[in-house]
Amino acid sequence: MATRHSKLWRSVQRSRNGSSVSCRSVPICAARSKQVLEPPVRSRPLVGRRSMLRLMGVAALGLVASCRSGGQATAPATPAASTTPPSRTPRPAATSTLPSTTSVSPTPTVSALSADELVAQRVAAAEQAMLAAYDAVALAHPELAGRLAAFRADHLAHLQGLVPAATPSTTPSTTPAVSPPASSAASAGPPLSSAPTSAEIFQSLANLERTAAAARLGDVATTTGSLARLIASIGGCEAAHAALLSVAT
Amino acid sequence: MSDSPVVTALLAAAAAENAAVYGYSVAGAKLATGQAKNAARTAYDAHRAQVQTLTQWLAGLGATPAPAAPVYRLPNPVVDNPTARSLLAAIEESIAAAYADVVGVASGQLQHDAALELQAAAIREAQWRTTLVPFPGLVGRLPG
Repeated sequence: MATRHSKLWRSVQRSRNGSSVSCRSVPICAARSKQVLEPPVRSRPLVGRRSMLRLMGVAALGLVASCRSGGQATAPATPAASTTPPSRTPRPAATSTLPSTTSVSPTPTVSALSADELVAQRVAAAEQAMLAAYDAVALAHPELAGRLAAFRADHLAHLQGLVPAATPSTTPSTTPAVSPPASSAASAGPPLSSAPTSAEIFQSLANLERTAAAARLGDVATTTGSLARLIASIGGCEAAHAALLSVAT
Repeated sequence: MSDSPVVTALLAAAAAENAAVYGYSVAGAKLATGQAKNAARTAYDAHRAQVQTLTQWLAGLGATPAPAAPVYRLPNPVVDNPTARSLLAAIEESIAAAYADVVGVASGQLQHDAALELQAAAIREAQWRTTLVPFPGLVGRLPG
């Protein structure tokens, strides 16, 4: 009902396609040696008291908890071909890039995945789980689907950035195969409240995003090079998601 | 002589943090709401603290960051609330990019801390941008 009043969320959806300013072309540090202005304005610094965004934890709703388990159930966390632990295999520097496309070809032979590929697949599975969570929420609460679309789209971008050939196991327009039925999702919540508020749902998603961002820190530790940067960036996005969702109502 | 990749990335991060401190000092005054000004002060403090942290990290590697420049060129004039927020979003993206570069070449605790700083920058960037960025720190640097 009164769920679409937030300017923030509208602007999120409206500006997704046009908001990627080319920040690399305008870093102000690039001009540090060319002083074009008069002496510093830093004489009036903005020192003050900290007031951080609060990332409040709220007990996860049964709804999202079921979403999470649904996603994990179908997400192949560890491929069968993983005969070598990711952190044990020495990685030549040359292979510490994004997952190679050479091993994605559907050849019948079974080849071992590189350590980086294993990490990429693990993170991709986590992104699939996030997609499933958003799909389950959209299914149970269609009125929120529009506001969450941009968040879901980011996770899809993550998935495809990790595994270029990947396609999401579900699409928003069809019934998600991995998410629990809407009826069970709606009835699996705490018995004290039959219908979670939008704020509670956002809070639960924020918790998922926060957990995901923390997991990316661990994933980064086993990688180097461009894959490490990619996973760290994905974690940054998820941290931002958590911050935005935690203050959404 | 040439610095190691880690030192090079940390020096760039320190330069970006110094620029961020300057940028916040310029843009903070143009923000419209008290809430935004408070957030800017918090971020300003965080960037100043990171300059010190990076200085310590570099000292451990035998390097010293360049001092902050007295003034920095801004990509666009900061004249009002929207231009201030735009600058701060661009600053945080540049910070995220700097730490992404550290993550790519560092390992261990340093890599972890850099990834954490990237997340902090991404949170602030989203705050100023009020839109989502799927790959903070990699904007314009990923194919496709």
